[in-house]
Amino acid sequence: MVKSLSVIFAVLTIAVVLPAAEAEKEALLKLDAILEKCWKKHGITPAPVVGDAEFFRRLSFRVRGKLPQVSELKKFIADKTPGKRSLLIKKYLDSGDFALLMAMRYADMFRIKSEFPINLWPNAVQCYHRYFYTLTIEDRSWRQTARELLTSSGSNFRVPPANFFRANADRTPKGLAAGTALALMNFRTTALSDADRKKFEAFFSRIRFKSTKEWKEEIVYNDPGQAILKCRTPDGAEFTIDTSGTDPRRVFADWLTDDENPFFARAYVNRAWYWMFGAGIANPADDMAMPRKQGLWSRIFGRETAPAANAPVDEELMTFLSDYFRANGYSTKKLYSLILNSRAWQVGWRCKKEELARKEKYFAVYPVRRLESEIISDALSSLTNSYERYVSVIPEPFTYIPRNTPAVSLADGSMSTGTLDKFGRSPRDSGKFEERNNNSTGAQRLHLMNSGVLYKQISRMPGRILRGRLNMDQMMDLAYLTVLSRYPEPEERKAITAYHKKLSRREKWKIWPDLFWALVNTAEFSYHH
Amino acid sequence: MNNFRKKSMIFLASVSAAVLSGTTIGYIYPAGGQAGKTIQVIVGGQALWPIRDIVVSGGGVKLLKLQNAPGTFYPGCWEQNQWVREYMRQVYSGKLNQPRRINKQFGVWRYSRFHEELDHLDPLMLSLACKGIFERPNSLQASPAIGQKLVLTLQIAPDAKPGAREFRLIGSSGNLRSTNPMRFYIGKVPEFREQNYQMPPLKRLPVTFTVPSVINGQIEPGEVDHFKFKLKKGETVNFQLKGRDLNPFIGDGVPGNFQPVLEIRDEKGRSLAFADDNYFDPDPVLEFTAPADALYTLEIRDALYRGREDFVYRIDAARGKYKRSAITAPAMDIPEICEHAAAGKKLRPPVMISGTIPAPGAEKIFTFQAVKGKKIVAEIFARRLGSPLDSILKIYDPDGREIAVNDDFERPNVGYNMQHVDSFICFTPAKDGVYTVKVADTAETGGRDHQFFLRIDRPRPGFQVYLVPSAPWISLDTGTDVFKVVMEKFDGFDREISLELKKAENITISGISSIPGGASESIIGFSSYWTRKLKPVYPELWAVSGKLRIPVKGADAAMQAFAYTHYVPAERIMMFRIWIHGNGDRFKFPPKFNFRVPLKRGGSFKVNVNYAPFKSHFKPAAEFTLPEAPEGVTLKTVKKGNTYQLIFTAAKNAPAVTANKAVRVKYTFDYKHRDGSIRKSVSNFHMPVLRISVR
Repeated sequence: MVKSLSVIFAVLTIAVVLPAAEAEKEALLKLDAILEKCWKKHGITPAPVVGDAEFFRRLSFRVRGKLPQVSELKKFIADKTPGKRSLLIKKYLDSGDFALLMAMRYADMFRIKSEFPINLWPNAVQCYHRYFYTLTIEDRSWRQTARELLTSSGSNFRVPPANFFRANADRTPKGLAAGTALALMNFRTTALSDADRKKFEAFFSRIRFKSTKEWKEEIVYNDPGQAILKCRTPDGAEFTIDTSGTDPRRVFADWLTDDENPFFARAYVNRAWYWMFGAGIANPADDMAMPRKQGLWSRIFGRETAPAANAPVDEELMTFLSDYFRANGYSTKKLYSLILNSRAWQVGWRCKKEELARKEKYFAVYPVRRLESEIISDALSSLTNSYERYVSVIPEPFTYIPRNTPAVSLADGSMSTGTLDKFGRSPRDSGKFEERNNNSTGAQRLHLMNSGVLYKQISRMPGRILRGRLNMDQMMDLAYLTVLSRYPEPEERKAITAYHKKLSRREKWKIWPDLFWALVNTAEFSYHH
Repeated sequence: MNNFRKKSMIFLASVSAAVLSGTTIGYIYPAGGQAGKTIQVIVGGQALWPIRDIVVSGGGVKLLKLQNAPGTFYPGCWEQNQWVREYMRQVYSGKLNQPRRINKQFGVWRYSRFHEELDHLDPLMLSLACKGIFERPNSLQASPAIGQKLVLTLQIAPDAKPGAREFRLIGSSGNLRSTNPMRFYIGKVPEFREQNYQMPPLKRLPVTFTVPSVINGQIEPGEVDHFKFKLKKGETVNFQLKGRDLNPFIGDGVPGNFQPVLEIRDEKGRSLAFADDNYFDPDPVLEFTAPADALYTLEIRDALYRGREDFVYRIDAARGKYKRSAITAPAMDIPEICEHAAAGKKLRPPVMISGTIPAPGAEKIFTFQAVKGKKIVAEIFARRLGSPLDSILKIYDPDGREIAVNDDFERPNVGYNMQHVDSFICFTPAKDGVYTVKVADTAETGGRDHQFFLRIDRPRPGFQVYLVPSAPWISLDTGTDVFKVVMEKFDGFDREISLELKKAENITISGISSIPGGASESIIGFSSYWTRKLKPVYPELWAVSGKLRIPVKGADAAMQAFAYTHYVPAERIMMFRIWIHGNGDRFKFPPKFNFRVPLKRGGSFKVNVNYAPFKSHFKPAAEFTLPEAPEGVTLKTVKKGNTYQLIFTAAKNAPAVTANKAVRVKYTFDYKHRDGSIRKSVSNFHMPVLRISVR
């Protein structure tokens, strides 16, 4: 009896759990097949899949925003479990670090900033940031999130999604429409004609803000009035709304989050791809062409319409991912899991110079991009074991963020340091990707090379390690693993050994601080690869 | 009393009074205690030197000991700094011998009695002394409002009634004056508090508490407090934090109050529960059901990682789910009816309907009979009573046309409420018939907590007057002391209000004793003649208008975020009499003067002030000014012998106004000091309050 019950239980478990796992596996195979097809179509050979060390480092930066610890890295490399990469991806996606990193990305996107020009003020900043952190931890449906953001009313201090409309420099219907289109549709309202734009703005014409006696608190609400609004969405859908009985925001939210909506899923998919690769399927990643329906002429004669400049590089890829996103209840974690497990995300970055542009365009090589400002700052802090102290003088008494708090977790775009600004942290004024400057500049190179404070901090590192009494090879391994998350190449070992031999006896100790400093100043340290 | 003793007491008193005039409490930590226990509390404030006793409403709390708390230590020299630190280490390690002093440094040795007797200090005083030695104050965070500290040992009677009390400090040494009141709680359950400051390199360890209990703490800059508690799987507890409740308005705080958050973590540091606010209330409530038998951590911090000594909190930890109290109807003589009984009926005003907006987007509709020309008031009581509802009211006539809408109704900043979102409509029906009223939530939220009372009634003009501050001090024999009165007016009330003072011993209203009709704020003057009785007086101050006779309440002005002024009602009015060096009793209006200054535009009004000089005053001179004069009204003075003629003039284009104002006098004179030199003296005081009207 017991045996038969356990068999029934096992069968039921397999019937429920396995299909989900199988479905994911199937989706992954399909995604890889689409990519293969794309590469074949363009005559491209993708780079080989990276080794475990490189994968670990790439995943750690892209998903946790952290420099990998040597012990974790060694453990991963030594692990022989089949499917260990998928398991690691799942572990990282479920971690609080991922939620913090995503909250940072959402904060850029939704302009979470205390001061000018957004003027959310600190209390709203912290609750809005917390909202995005929590929704990532809970893997809340992106559709549900979008609806909340669009339709919430209440205090900007007490109802976090009410800050969606509050966090706009321009709070006229024009500004609100532009902000909404950018954030949730990756669309610029300037692409619409004047007449169409006005009708689109009508959806946001009843949003009001009222103050209270609490400092800087505002209540966001819909003012029904008694108006008949003629509204129009960018894809031409027309709505007539009687505001006395209907909140125009809800009508818009219903349209936007409908499964048939051409913008919604694609917009998020493109952002997700951008965050994981550093480039979108369509670029600019937050300014996508309006999806075009195939016209009668082209359907009859089988001709495709010419793609817009900012159309996806591969429509099938975009469509597949959007459908997957929809089919999985708009679960962002599942989407990221699919992307991270794909072949495209795990290919190497090395290729011939003349092939680079083409291969990068179709994700046959992993795009090499500079680490984000907060991630670099945290990487340096983690290496040197000395975190910056973040203070804000906007609230009073002043805000003192507790010591050893990573920069990735900073909620407020107005709270910054010289290092963060130097490395191009987003000021969060417009919510556009281009605000974050991930280009390498002379000032950044000078900072890494010449900063006395940084050199001092780096110089202290070997001291801690040397207490372990390691030999030359072990020291080199540790230096490379700590800074670059890999073992040194034979040529590198040779060069360092040769250099060490040249030094006088009194100077030999200097090799280690110099080595660490040199490794920090390599492009390999500062870049996603 | 002979003249010398009187003058000495006046001198001492005036020094104390000058100090006491700035005496305020910024915080009390902990802000309460368990009945039957003796506790030590730290009171932070400014100008606390003359404080000698406490006054706690409701009784049952006694002051056993009062000590000045050790402050920041500034050594005279490096050797002294090292000596004090070494001595502190010895005391903490159990050794009680003082380390050897280097005598040759004695010349620059800075005396501190705390450092002479470190081994005799109790644990709290020792920790404060330790903090003063090892921590440098953050000058950027310094606030004079909480710059001084006292340590009080309080005994709470076993039968002391639990609940919130008003806690004040009073000063003596020839004077008695009270500080502002602070909230102080008496409870029945055990209380825990965070560990005292630890000598570096030690850090504070989390305290383990049991449930039910009360946890007390303070948030310093960037600090996160941790407490531990054990729970079995499935057990539910709730935590209600009082932070803003203890100190509702912080003048130099931005935001203008403590914004606490609560978080619960498991043994691995993972977050299991989080709470920021409780609807509109910044003080959070957190419910938690344990997923497993474990030791959990409760974290408390400011939402913005601010911190200061006046960021004090109390957490009530109780078993079971949090039960939000239902709101209770305002005390009005109106029949009450619940929404279910009212549904579908043609109600006849006056009626008070209790209801709830049960779900987001819901609305409640009621109908009532109205008579043409007879005003109707529709008023919501919700947020004022603690409901999260942000009401919007709409009125429809018998034909279904919307005739009135109101979302928010501006009210004076009295009380803790910072959102005046309760709706109010007063309209005159154009015809007889059945009218409809709709109640909804502006933010389209709803739930069982979104309760309201809807009053449909004829207008009942009324008022509530507040005397600011709640514990005014009145100087003896030295003119008039002027205080503010704030009016809350209801249903369009705009008549004049007379004020009557009773049971005030020798304190009287000085000048006009009424508030002009239409005013939201005004002033009132009090004066007192010489007496040796200086204990506080608990008077009755009545506000009378027509048939309405309502007791005046006390309130204290509190600023928030450098910008907003609020009035926090107190439980009672206390008046103090104080000696102060002044000569106001020498200046008098004529006996039959009725304190009214009627002015026509372009006209003037004259009144004499008679001055009775002291023989010992030479070259006396008085300067009369009219602070905050009504627009277009000026004051000139003409001296004729010992009489000053005050001439009030209204400009031709002066707007019509009726207001209470007090003339301020700056009186200077020379006198012969006992050492033979001639010295100058200046005193400032007010004349009795006048009613100035411009027509």
